[in-house]
Amino acid sequence: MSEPTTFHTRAVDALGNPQLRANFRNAMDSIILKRQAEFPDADELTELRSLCDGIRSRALSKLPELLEQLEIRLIQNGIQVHWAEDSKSACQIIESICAKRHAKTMIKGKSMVSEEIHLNAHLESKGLTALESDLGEYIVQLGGEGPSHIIMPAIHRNKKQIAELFHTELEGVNLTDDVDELTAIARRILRQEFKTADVGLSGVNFAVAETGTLCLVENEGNGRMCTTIPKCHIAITGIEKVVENLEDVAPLYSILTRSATGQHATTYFNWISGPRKESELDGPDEVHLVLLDNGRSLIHETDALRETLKCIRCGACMNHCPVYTKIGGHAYGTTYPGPIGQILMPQLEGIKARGDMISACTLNAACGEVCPVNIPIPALITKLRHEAVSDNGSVKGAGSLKKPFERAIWAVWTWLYSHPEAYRLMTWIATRFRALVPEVLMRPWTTTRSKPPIAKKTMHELMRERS
Amino acid sequence: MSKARNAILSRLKRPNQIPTSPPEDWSVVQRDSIDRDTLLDLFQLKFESVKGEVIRVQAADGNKGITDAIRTWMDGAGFKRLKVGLSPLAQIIEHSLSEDLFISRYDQPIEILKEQLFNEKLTEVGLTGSVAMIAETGSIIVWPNHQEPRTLSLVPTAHICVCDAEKLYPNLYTCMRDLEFHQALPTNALMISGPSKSADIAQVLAYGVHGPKRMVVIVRV
Repeated sequence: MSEPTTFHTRAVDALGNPQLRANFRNAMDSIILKRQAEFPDADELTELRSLCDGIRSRALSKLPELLEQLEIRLIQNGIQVHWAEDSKSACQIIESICAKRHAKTMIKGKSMVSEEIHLNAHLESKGLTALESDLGEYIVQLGGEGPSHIIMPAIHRNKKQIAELFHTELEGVNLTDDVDELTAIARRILRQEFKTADVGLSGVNFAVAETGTLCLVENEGNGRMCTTIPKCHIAITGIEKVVENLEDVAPLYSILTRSATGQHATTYFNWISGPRKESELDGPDEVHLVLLDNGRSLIHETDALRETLKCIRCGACMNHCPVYTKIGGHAYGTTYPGPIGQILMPQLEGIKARGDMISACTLNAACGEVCPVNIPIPALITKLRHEAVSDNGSVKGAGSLKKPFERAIWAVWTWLYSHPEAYRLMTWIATRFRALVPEVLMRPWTTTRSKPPIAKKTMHELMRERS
Repeated sequence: MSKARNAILSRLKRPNQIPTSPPEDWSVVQRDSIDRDTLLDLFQLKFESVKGEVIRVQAADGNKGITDAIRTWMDGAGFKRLKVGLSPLAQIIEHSLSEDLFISRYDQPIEILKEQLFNEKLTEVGLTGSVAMIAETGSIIVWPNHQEPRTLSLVPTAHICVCDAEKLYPNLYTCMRDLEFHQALPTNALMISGPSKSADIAQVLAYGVHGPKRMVVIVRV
């Protein structure tokens, strides 16, 4: 499969794929309705959002202190803490934990941070196997892809496509698109792996500073398997996931599951506060937490951008994004797609590398309206658009999308706008002669649209005549 | 401590004046006491909506109510093999049901029991107690310990959980507050809301993905 190289070409490819568009449209329509049904009371939603916004803002306002407290509590609880500046060092930390234990196989629960650091590829290059166990992640790993959605990784495939994938990639599996049968096949295969894997890896939904507790939210039970059966459990999370008090997780959990999948609760909520005690009969002997920065501390530094870090990774912003729904998650080419990806990735990886995503937004503001912690995503996208062309921005790669021609046009426009006589002359000429502009000069606007008819007079002229 | 740690923390401490956030209004998750029957009905509605099963037994019937319910349910589901822990409840059940069912104890480390535990034919149903029930989300809280290992509620094909309606809370917040979770959490605590499930294949809901395929709550009322 040849990989298209830019966001633009990937988006064009996705738009030309009716099956992909139907898969996303159907999935997003259904998830939007499910979420709506879980929030029947608008006042309750407003109050809960503002509470959860407050909890996340409080945590970010004392982030370094909370991380220090978290570390102390975790160590008291017998959990080993590791700090990683970037993807490479996080991968190395995990690799060396595995090496110390002579571990060869890892079974993984769902973790977007492990996707962010490209852990699987790293471990495989070192001769370890890393197997995804979340059903959706298992499917995309079988297909040699990454997740196309942060909550529903395989949502870009319909059941026929998954049936074919299982049939071709798994030995002795007959072609079936019965979802129960497909699920049973994955259960049978993965149970063997849970039983034998040397190390289990998971993400973290909330890390509680007060008690040194790692919280995990999931439906399938694979998260529990990965954190319970292997003798060693490694958890990895971004440094922003810390919350201050244990009670903070109650409202956050409630708004997370309802916003993400429209469920009143997930099947499992898992509080992990330590390895197996001597008297206990199961659980891992060793628990590790890897705290990843990877650009987050720089986001934290800028007042105008800090709110990006409030995110609890529910995915509601992408579910409601008209652009995401049309092009799907893979077109973005990043770990985090959709609106949250559009504000996070350019900050993590720089505007030069990821700035093209920022333009894929109509500023319809649906993402901001559904965000459970009130992240002003549209305002942050606008802010990043400014940063992209600014001479003195604070984001990595600020100013890298500056174009001299575009600048010149804006300079002319600014001058026209501040000189009424010239402006009037310009609009008079435009309305009288614009019809003469050949269609070819109006492309790409007119490649899929007809040339707009031009009014004979400007609105200003019409208004003046009326008065 | 590591170089990375110090570098990250010093960058985080660089912004000198992050405004402290105002105190939050928590009233939206606080609940007045509601009568237990209403809560239990809500629990049942929510738990059954995700394919959980609820059996109410009379507390006045004592242990017999519970053992009868287990026997009847296992019989109806076609299960014969029950794994129990070492708790007082487990001992009572073992004592009264050993003639009807094959009951085995979880009395050794998982390293020894693993093969048996993962064998669907040898371990069909796991039994646990519960420290609390939550009405609004139809959930039970399980605190595994040395008498009741974590995997009892995870690996067997079905999970039976014995609960008391007296320990029913309106929502997670009131439950965590009243049980003082922050003082008392075990190495692993769990909130469980029905059998394992997934909608990862084309949004079609499937039950019994990696955890139990069936989950039944026996509530002493």
